[in-house]
Amino acid sequence: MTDSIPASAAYVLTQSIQELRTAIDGLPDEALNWKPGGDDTNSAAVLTTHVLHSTRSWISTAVGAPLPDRDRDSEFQASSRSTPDLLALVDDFGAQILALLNDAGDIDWAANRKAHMRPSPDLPDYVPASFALLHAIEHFGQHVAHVSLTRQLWEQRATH
Amino acid sequence: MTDHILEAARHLVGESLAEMEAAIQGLPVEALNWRPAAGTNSIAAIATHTVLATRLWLRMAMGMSLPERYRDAEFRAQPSDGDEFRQFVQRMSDDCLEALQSAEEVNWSASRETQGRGGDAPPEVAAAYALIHATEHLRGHVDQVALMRQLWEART
Repeated sequence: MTDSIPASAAYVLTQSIQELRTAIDGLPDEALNWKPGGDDTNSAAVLTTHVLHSTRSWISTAVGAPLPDRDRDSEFQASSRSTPDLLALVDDFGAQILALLNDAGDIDWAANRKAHMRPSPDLPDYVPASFALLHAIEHFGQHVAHVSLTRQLWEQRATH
Repeated sequence: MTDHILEAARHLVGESLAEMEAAIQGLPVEALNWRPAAGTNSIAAIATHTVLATRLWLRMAMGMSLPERYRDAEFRAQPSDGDEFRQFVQRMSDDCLEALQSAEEVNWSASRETQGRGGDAPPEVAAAYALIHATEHLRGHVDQVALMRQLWEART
């Protein structure tokens, strides 16, 4: 039986990548590094950089591909010089993420696979492939919504 | 045989719904109806939309009957009592979790009829798509509500 999970995952991620592009496209360069609620919140550049690296890594775990190099802490220090630069990052990572799913072949969703370093030592290093896939996609949706709201807040701030 | 996709969805959806309930816990009704900026939605509107959409998509994924839904009305939600609103969210969350417990195994390639999506949405989707979309859509809105709570608390 054909596994419809990777194709559906690729479809949802394609939509999410487009939503992320829409949330960034047209923003002035200074909006990319603006934090909506002070230092406790993250800029659009940070959220975008983090979610792209994270999703590539989680999808690699899900499909059993080698884990890419990743420095999670540095993602939260990221800044972006220009909107075209940030959109180019989205396009580059978006293509890599979709290629991982499209080239995956048969996937054993029960397999326990190594994840990248987790944000808390209480979280497991090994997770089922099924968890890695769904978590990758929900985490992407989480941050796309966050970037969209950050844009709305920037635009309201700019008009007051 | 264990359905590992279903098992992961139960875990992640359960976590997200718990976070939604935590994000609205203890907020006064003014905070639930507050909009961080003109043109944005309130916490109540997003939470209402989120739990009703999640219930629809999860039931679709599981091959269950689809509830009536009026998407536009979800965004007009304006509760007058915070506790009643939280009880509503809790009931809908319970429905979502019950839907995921309604079977032990799902044919994720099965076609499911969609309902009331409008626009250029297809009349049918794969069960896999319905589940993945439900999970991703829920998580996105939970984080929006959590951020709006942060903004409300920073404001006051």
